[in-house]
This record gives sequence, structure tokens and C-alpha cells, in this order.
Amino acid sequence: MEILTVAATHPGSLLESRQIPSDVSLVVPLVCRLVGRLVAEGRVTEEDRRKVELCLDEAVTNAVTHGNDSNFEKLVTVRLFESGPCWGVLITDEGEGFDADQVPDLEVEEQLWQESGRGIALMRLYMDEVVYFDGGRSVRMIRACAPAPEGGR
Amino acid sequence: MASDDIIRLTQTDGIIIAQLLRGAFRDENGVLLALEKLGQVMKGRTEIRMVLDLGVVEYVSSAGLGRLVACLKRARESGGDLFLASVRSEILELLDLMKLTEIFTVHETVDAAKDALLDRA
Repeated sequence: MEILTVAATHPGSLLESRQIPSDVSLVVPLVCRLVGRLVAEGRVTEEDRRKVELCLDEAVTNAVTHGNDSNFEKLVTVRLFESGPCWGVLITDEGEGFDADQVPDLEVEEQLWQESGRGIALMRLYMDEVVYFDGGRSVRMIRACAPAPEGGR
Repeated sequence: MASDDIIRLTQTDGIIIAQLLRGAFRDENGVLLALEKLGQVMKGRTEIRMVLDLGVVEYVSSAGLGRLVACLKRARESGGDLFLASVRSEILELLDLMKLTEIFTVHETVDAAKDALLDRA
């Protein structure tokens, strides 16, 4: 997995920006709010709600616990954006970043018994693009919007 | 055996049936705590034969998957085994995509998992 050193950017236009202190109990309410909006706007189907909640939960939890080391003084910023037929989220912490070599390669059979390190692999399962910027302090995830239901939204 | 509002533990024919009682996204912490507690219950036991009933679990994060793997490891290291039962389709899909069905044995019902463990005895 490649981690870019350049600063994070997002394409398209900003829909919403939120900041939370690094407290893991604040992650689920934030994710519920954001995914609830995406479902209400028809960008995510009810069927895919759980998959998207999983990706956002993993990314924000990583930022809180690994990025900011659960330091309440440090903030995690979450920006929701739209870009053409896609929506995305840019999540930024105030930590030290991380080394891509620390992330286990779950394609290797011996790694199946690992008790941690599956978060990024889960995000890659259900998002169309997952890119790390700024040495790992920011992650940008993009997913195609759900097709409009017949008869229009 | 011990029970509370996040996990119910019963024992029958030498097989421990562990039923998770919470499993929604908003209860993710309940799932993690239940699996943590299960790991503690397994500590120090030998030849653990266990069925883990995930019937109510509709959300598992990477942390939850890690704790499931930890429980499976503990059961195998004790000389026994742990089978999963009543796994919802979305969780089964996740286990499959993460290749964890290569190490977990999954049964449709608790009774089927229990019978399979008894057959091994």
C-alpha cells in the first residue's frame, strides 16, 4: 500500500465538515449522522448502509485511536464531499502518520491469524478508492453514488 | 455459567454455547465487550469446545474480527475448537471476503454446530 507524502485534497464540492475530539465514543454518532445523510440523499442505498458505516467507522476510529492516540486534545476532521457521480470523505488527524510496512498483508495465509490490522483492508472492500496522504495523517475514500431509482430521485 | 446483558453462556454435553445478545452498529461496543469477556472465560481452560451464536450480530468491525480470531486461537490452542453458528448473510460475506472462512467453521444453526462438535469427540 502506498502512502502519499503530499497534502490531502478532495475533488468536487464540500457537503459537510465536522470535527470531533479524539474520543472513540464519539465515532459511532458521527458516522450514523453522515451515513444517514448519504442514505437520505440517495447517494447510498439502505442495502449498502452497513458497508459504508463500516468503512467510515474504521477510518475515523483509526484516526482517533492510532493517529491521535486517543488524545482528547487532538481533533479529527471529517469532510464529506461530492464529485460528479461520486461522493467521498476526507478524514484527517493530528498524529504522526504511519508506515505502510506496518500494515499486514492479509493476502498471506499466515496473516489470517492476526488479531489486528484489518481496518484498511475492510475499507478497501467497500469503497472504490482509498488513498492515504500526508504520510498517513489523511485518508480519502471515494465511492460511486447509488444509481437513481426508476422514475427519478 | 455466567450470563449478563451482552452474552449468555450455557453448557450442555460438555459444549459451551456462547450467545451474543447485542449486535447492532450502535451496540458495537457491546459486541467487543462480549468477545473480550468470552476470551477471559476461555483463559486457562483445556479442550474448549464452543459454539458461538452470532444470530443477532449485524455489524462487526475489524476490532470485532480480531477478537473472533483471538477466541478461535484460544479454543484451538486448548486442544478444542470453536464453531460459529447462525451467522447473518452480511457477516458471512464479510468473513468470506476477508478469507476468514478459511479458518472458521460456520454452521447454519447452533444445533448443527453442536452436533458437529459432538461428532468429533
